[in-house]
Amino acid sequence: MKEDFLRKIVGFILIIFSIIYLIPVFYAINLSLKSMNELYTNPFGLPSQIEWENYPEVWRNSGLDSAFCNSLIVATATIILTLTVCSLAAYSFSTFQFKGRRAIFLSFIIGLALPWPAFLFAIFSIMRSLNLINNLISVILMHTALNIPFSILVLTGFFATIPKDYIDAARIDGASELTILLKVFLPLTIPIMVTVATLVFSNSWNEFMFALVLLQRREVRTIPVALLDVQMQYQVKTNYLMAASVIATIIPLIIFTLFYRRIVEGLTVGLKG
Amino acid sequence: MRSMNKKVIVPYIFLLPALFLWYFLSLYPIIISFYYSFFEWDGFPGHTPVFVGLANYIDSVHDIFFISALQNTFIWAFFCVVVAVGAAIVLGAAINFKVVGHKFIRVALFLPWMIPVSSSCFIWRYIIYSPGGLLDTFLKTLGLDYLKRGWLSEMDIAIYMMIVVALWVGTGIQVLILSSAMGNVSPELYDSAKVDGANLIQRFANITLPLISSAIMMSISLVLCGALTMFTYPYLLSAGATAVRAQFLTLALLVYQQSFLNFKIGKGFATAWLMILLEVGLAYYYIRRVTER
Repeated sequence: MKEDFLRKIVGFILIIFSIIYLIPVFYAINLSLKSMNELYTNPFGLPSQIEWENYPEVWRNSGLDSAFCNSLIVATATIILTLTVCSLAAYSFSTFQFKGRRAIFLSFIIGLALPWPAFLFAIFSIMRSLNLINNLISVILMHTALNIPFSILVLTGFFATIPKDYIDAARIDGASELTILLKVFLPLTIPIMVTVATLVFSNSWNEFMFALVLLQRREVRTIPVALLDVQMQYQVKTNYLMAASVIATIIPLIIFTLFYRRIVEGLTVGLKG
Repeated sequence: MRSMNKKVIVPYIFLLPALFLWYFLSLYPIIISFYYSFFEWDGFPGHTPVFVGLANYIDSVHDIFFISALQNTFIWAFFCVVVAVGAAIVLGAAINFKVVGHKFIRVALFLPWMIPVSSSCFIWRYIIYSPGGLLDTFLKTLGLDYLKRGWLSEMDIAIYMMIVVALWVGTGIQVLILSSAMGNVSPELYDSAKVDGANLIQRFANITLPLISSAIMMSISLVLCGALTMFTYPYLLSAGATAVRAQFLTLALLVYQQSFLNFKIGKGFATAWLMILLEVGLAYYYIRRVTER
């Protein structure tokens, strides 16, 4: 009973803390709905008149619309590429015993600690020699590389829990390995695939460094870098910048709401080690 | 016999796409950056690199910004680890204690992680730095005007402001990781300890903490890893200015500055390799952890 009391008190304090924690979010939304004037005359109160027009204005006039499409293309392609190569690899790691298995596995996992900024120029010059600067493909490739280590770790861990009997039965029936992966594994592993896809999506949607260096023309920019352009364009008109920031968050927020449980699960499975 | 051969090759065929992508995009850049760290080169394809031995490394260590970048990186790593993991242990424990509203608390703390980093940085810049921004107004209302500083312009305070932003974004995910690790501890252990008369603190210190120690280590290394190569926050909080200012410099940003802004590719790579040395210990940790399984 003493513990019940503690649960209420601590919970109450932490709920207040969480609301304070989210103040920057409320503040940004509030600013995004104000007129330029009100930014100064009434910086903290609710807007006296809600300026919905801020949103279409930044969407149309600052290149945010094309950045939004670019980001969607990059994220989708990254998900498809990552899931394809990583589930093939995870299938190999979890169902076969072969020479060099451990060493190859480690060479992927070590990537979790890879200091990517150190190789930024090397990657830039590789992409330049392939003529992929200002081409979304370069960023798709890099985002895939960023996501390979943890995807392989998570998928291999999950694939290993699938009973060997299923595989043996299918092999006796004469199914090829690829058929087993597609017909036996895939249906059983859809939940973990969704989890990985969600994490890959948010990593790709939010990735800044490679997008900054590899996509230099305005038309090919993705959202995180396009926000810099928005800032340059509107300078002190922070209401527009905040509107752009809110727009940039919409898709991750939808994904977050739909798949929150999956994300939590994926982190648990993946990082339990 | 033929089917035997086929069987031997099959696992490698499945690995091929991942191996090709991974080695091409990670190992190849590693080799290039190591090789050219011994050359003087301005990065233009037509210009021939000149071999200079270890000169780049010596040059890099003597760079006027090197020490402050190193210092900033360590401050960053230290505070991120201590605060993020410390807070995650406390908050994770509270969430697992099933305090009132624990689900809401977990979601609320995680939310900032989903916001694109550039958005978060712009929001925080406005809060911290704008004239009459939220922070200064808040201090004014409390009558603490004299605390007002050039939050993002003064050398000794800017780095801590950036740490605040990074922690705001990243702490939630550590809370998630540690609270789910704590959730995996079997309830029977608690029940039997309860029967033995152990109180809350004793149960936490003697059962929970030892059992999640490997998750805590994982969490620490994840945070360290990000912090030692921090690029995005300092870049964005200095407003994406083309000239990076000293108060924002981390090692990763110094590497960027040397290679992309000063066109000293070899020197940039040399600095990068000094940064990599910091990470080698971490990589070793991951390998050991995976090999333990």
